[in-house]
Amino acid sequence: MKSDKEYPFFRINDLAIPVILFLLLQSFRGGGEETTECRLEVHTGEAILQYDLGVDSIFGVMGNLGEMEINIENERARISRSPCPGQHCVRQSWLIKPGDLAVCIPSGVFIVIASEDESLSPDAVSY
Amino acid sequence: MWKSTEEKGNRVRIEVLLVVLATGAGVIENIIPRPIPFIKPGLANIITVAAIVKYGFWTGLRVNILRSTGAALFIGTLATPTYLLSLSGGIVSALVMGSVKRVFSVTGMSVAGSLGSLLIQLLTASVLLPGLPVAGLLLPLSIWGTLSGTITGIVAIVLLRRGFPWIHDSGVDSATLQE
Repeated sequence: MKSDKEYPFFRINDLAIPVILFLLLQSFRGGGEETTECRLEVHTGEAILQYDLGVDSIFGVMGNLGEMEINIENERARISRSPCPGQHCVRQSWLIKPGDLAVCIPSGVFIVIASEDESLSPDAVSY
Repeated sequence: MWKSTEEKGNRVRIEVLLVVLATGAGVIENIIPRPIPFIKPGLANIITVAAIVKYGFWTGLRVNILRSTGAALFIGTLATPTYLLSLSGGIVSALVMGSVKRVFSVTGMSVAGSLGSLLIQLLTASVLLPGLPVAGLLLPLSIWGTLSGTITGIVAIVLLRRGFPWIHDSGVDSATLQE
């Protein structure tokens, strides 16, 4: 069939993509970290707020569109309420391990689970 | 090049259909929850891939710009940073796919476009949100870009082999529609 030849599923040149991707990722690869203690960092654009993941809490932070609600429960965290139109940040699942991230682009806020290895005390606020 | 008035009319009909399909796909995928920021199924990309393969880069670029804007109008994210992310991803995706069209297969082209879109969105987000841990997102986004790009590329090939976009060209064949 002519169109089958015209639109092949794969070509040998396609192999260049995973090779380039592998080299790119290798250049960004950081050292793996083993840690048991984690904290929640809330980046609001103006401040980086830090919270102990061991203490269950619900608190508000101000984003570009208004107040957002963040929930810490059973050493997990999530954005539980946001005034943004898309609500992708709210529908995202719980953050549980270091590096897990939830972003609300319209609010200009992201939350990330960070390890305690970075020698910052819990519940500190840095501007 | 588009030559006669009839061909211009066909171009408009075809592009309107492509934009409507891509916008619809964009709105539908917006409903689907995202386990990791910036990850989405790439349904709209199926239309763009098919458009670039069949009608060329400029048609694909126009489809991407118009569907980003159309979906943003529908969802209510126009004039927000979300639209900026979508638009930058759409433009770069079309640019990358147009550049590698003759180098890779349609699947490879789709993967390259998907990766380009994700990387530029990550870069744009890191400018909008200083301190965003970009390095940590690179691996999951690259894996997802490769996976979703492969699937959307294969779906686009299947559609193209079946005559997508199924509009009677009335004298305008695919070769004359190429820019």
